Parts: sequence; C-alpha cells; structure tokens
Amino acid sequence: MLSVEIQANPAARPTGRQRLEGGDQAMGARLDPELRSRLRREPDASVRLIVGVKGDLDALAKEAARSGAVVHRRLSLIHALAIGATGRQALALARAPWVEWIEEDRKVRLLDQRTGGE
Amino acid sequence: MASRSKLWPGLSVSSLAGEDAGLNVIVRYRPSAVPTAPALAIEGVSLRRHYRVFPMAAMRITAAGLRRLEADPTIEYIWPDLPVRAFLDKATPAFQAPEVWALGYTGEGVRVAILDTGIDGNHPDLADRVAASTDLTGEGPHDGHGHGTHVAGIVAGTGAASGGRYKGVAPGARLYAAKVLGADGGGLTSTVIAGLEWAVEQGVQVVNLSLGSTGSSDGTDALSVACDTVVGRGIVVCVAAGNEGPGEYTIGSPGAARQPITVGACTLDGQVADFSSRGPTADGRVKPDIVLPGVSITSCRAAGTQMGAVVDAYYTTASGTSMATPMASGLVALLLEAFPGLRPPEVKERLKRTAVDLGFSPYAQGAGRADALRAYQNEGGPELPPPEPPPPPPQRPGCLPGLATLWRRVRP
Repeated sequence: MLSVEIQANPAARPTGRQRLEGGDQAMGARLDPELRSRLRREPDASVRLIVGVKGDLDALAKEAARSGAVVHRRLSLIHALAIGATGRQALALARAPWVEWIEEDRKVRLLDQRTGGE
Repeated sequence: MASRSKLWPGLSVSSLAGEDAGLNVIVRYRPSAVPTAPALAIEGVSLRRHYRVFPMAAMRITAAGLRRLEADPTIEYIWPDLPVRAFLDKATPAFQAPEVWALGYTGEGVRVAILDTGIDGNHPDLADRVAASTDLTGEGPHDGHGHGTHVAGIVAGTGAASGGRYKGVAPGARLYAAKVLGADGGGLTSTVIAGLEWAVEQGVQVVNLSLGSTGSSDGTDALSVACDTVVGRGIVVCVAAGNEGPGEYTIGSPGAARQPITVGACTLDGQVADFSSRGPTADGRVKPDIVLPGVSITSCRAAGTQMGAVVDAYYTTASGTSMATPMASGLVALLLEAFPGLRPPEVKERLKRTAVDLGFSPYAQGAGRADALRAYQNEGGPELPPPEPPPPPPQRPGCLPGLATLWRRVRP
C-alpha cells in the first residue's frame, strides 16, 4: 500500500488542511507547520509540492518557474500547480500573494494486500 | 499396505509424473498414529505445516513421495491442497449482481475510468473493452504490475478466457485506462489528479480509484478535494477505504473525501475484512460508505506479471479494498445503465439505503454490504438524498482546528 512517508503514526497525525495553523497564514500561503519546519531544516533538499494558486494558472506557472521551481503539472481541476523545488524556494513561494496553500505531493499506492503493507 | 482408496479422486502417482516442483497436499493420519514433525523426514516429502488440533499435515510431495505416503499404513487419506479463492462467480452473487444481469443489464456502454497501473488490453476478457487509455507516468501504457488489469477485470471482464466463470460485475461497460501508478505500484498525488482531469475530459460516468495514502485524513487534502470536484461535475467516484484496519481512524486520502463512495472490504460470508480501514475520518465523519467482497478475489492477470496468487496464464487472486472498490464501480455501471438520469449523490444514497446490514459498526461497514438487486429495485422508497452536512470540527486530540472548509474555495 502506498504510504505517506513523513507520517510515523497515521492515527495520531491526520492529514489535510485542518492541520494548518493560523500563524502560517500570516506569512502568505497556508502551509502545514510540519512541512514548513522540514523545509526550513533542509533548505537545499528537493521536494515535490502541490501549490494552490489564485489567478491565471498559465501565468502563475511561469511565475513559479521564474522563482526557480520546476513546474511538473498544471492541475486545473483544483487550480493548483505540481512543482519541484528546494526547501528555500518553497518557503519563498509560500510568501507569494498568489499562493493560497501548499501541501506535499504525497506518494500514493495501490491497495491490494500483497503490496498493501509496504 | 497401499490402497487407492486413501487418495483423493484424480490424485495419483502417474498424475505427478514430470512434476519436478512437486504438489501441495494435505495428509490425514490415523488418529492413533500421528507422528511428530521430525518423523516426517521421508524422501520426496517436505513438511509445510503440522496441525496441532487435527491429525493432519500439509506437505509438498513428488511422485516418489506420494508413492511412499500411499504405502504408509499410518496415513488415512491424502488430498491435494487446493487453493481457496473467492472466484468472481462466487463474489458477484454475494451482492446479487447476476440477478440484475438477468434483468438485461450489464453496464452496457457505461464509461468507467480506471486510474491505476494501466490495463492489459490484450487480455481475452478485456479485448474491445478499453475505449481509451493514457500514460501519465512516463513508463509507457502497458500494465507492468498487474493491479490495474485485475481491477479492470472485476469491473468489466467478460470472462472469455474462463468460459464466463470470471466475469466482471459490468461486462458491458467501456473502460478508460489512465496509468497513474508505475510498475512498482507507486505514484504521486499530482499524477492521480492529472488522471482525474483526463477522465473528466473523456466524459466518463464512473471513476475507480483503488489507491490511496496512509494517515488519517479529514478530506481536505488535494486528492480528496479533486475527487469531490469530479463528483460535483456529475461523475460517480468510487474510492478504496484503505488496508490499514482494523483500528479506527485509519482511512486516508482519498478514502476520506466527502462526495465519493468509499468502499471497504468484506468476505463472502459477510465479515468485514480485518485489513479494511475503519472510520471515522480525522474530522469525525462516518466512513466507509459501504463494503463489498474484497478477500481472495480472482480476476484478470496482466501478461508477464506476478501480482497476487497466480492461478494460470490469465487469472490471479488478490485481496484488498482495491478489489472491493471495482465491485462498487461495476455495480454503479449497472445502475447507470438502468437509470441513466441518476446523479452521483442519488447513486451513493441509493447504495447506502439499500445495503444489507452485516451487523458491524458503521465505522467498519458503513451502511453495510451494497446489494445490486436491492439498489436496482430501490428498496426503501425513492427518497431524495439529504444534503451533505457541513463537516464537524475536529474532535481528536492533536487534531488542530483549521481550514476544513478551504476545499470549497478551489471548487470551480
């Protein structure tokens, strides 16, 4: 089964935007505090993210690229960009006024039992 | 003293000739002659399991070993150790799909997207079933894992390679294959969302997601929101509950999404599978919505893959909410052929209202085991679906108050 690698205790650490704290909104985008601390701790490490934006998706994809991020997909269904960035670049993006929220582009897995326990 | 009577019909030394790998058998001893495990050191016989309660043992034997066991006076009977499977021809009757087929419905023409590891379109059961496919992984469109083909067979396999035995739930449905998981069974959330976009563009009526992530979710993560958005566009989405049971709060994303039909797994005899993830969601909602058979399901095997317990060249057996979910997708296809005007909330409500209560907690079984005939007959009356209640505030310790309504902002 595919897993969220950053979560050691799934039951104790729910995923989703309810985990976002008000203080994070003050810096611009809504950013999971755990993800934010990881980005700060590893500013040069690459990370895959989904970034919810407000505004024209194509124009903002170019804006994200100008900031150094690699835009992998435009996700029009949820008005978001799938990007690759360093921790430093991601934190800079989180301060951009056009970024609404950021979450990790988490891994998913199929759900049969043979692989489900991985 | 050798005796043919101690061999199961069809089991003989000659039937094992040339079987160098041997055969699994179960041996019953005479009650007064049960040997200890070390005493079973017989050439051509290897012990696999020694039962403590019954005077029996499971072994792997060669032809020479069978000859020796047959001549052993302490042994009373020898059976082949037959694989135990919930064939599709057993699973579909468990929720009365054949009764709906008998009414003339096979999901004919209903468009079902399978977002998975791809589909082997050359499988005899799936020939001409795949209307369109795309690869979003960069690996190429073939199913190098086997999971997607297995799922596709449960939805719409014709059973051509088994004389109809392993027919899927809606063999008339048209499949749209989006490969969003690689041959290792993994992928990224963003790739799955891209698959959802592709499915919407294809005009499908049903989406099957036999995938997910671990970690209890409140349904506001990106993939859950994307699934809600797809349902809002008039498409029924069936998602797997996950395999993290039996503990509570084990439903992740997208199983925790509000609008899709979240499917847990049960056995043919009506037990919720231990592995099936349990609710509530991280924000306290009841999930799964329904359960369907998902234990030891035999379905299509993609060429060259080894997923599950391989039956033969064309079929393999697997368990998981991955297998229960396409049962639901096929069932939905049957309903949509019969009632093309049904909207996704009506489909979901009808499946829940007509489900058979298995007697488990709603966090384990949801409304119960969905039933194709009862859903077709709309047992319980044509009630309109109630509006989806707003999500309650998080109630679990460590679950921060937050932005559970944010998902609405990103809906088109």
